[in-house]
Amino acid sequence: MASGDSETKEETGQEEDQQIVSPDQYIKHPLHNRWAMWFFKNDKSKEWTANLKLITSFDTVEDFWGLYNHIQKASRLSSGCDYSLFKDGIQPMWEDASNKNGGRWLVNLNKNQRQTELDNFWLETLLCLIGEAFDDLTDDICGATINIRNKGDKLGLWTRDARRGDATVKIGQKLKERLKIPPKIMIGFQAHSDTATKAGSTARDRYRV
Amino acid sequence: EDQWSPLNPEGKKHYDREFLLQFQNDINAVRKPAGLPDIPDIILDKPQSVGRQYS
Repeated sequence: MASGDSETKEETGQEEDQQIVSPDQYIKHPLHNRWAMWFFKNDKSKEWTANLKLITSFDTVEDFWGLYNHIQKASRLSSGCDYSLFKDGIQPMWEDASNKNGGRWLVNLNKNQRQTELDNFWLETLLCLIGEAFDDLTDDICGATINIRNKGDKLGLWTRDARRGDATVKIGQKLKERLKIPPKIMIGFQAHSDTATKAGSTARDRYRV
Repeated sequence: EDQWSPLNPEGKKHYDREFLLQFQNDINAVRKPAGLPDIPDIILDKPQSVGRQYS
């Protein structure tokens, strides 16, 4: 009995002296979704799919930054290259089951914007995806791509179902707000099925914000 | 606010940009991740985005 009492006292004393270490310092912040980053390099001697490479996937904030910090900035890629970030399990191509009925919000960048805006736009889009900026519309989101092209770079935010008008418009508005695109500049949404059948020319916009 | 934290593990894993940005130079983020593929076009050995370096 006596030894039991003294133990209890000791434990209490230790507790008071102990420094409480914040769990923030060692627990990584989990993401709502697991994401995969892809790199595409246009090599005409190879099949399209052979040029598409998975870089890695991650599901914490810290691991996202570890990857982002150790890959080249989008603005320094050569023409014909893409980065894509998609939910794990969705391939960054129209043919994927999650994409085939979907489409993309498209932001066209002019030549000057590669140096001034492109990296910021891409990072902001990545942060929207991993941070779940689209809140309860997360299931509508598939991923995003950045295309580096001499004729003009493009940023696309890919959604799952082009027929979901209200959700699609809300996603477009949020993207535009987060990228700080001025209200007078309109961005358009195209269904992949329209783009696929309109080779060479631009598909009509299903929605604009 | 119902954001996930170590003390609120059931919270929503929704993070705004300021919250996410504060981890860019976290110790876990400046170390090169293990297992990256060998793609010389894009893979860097040292973090390029780290703001202020200690010298």
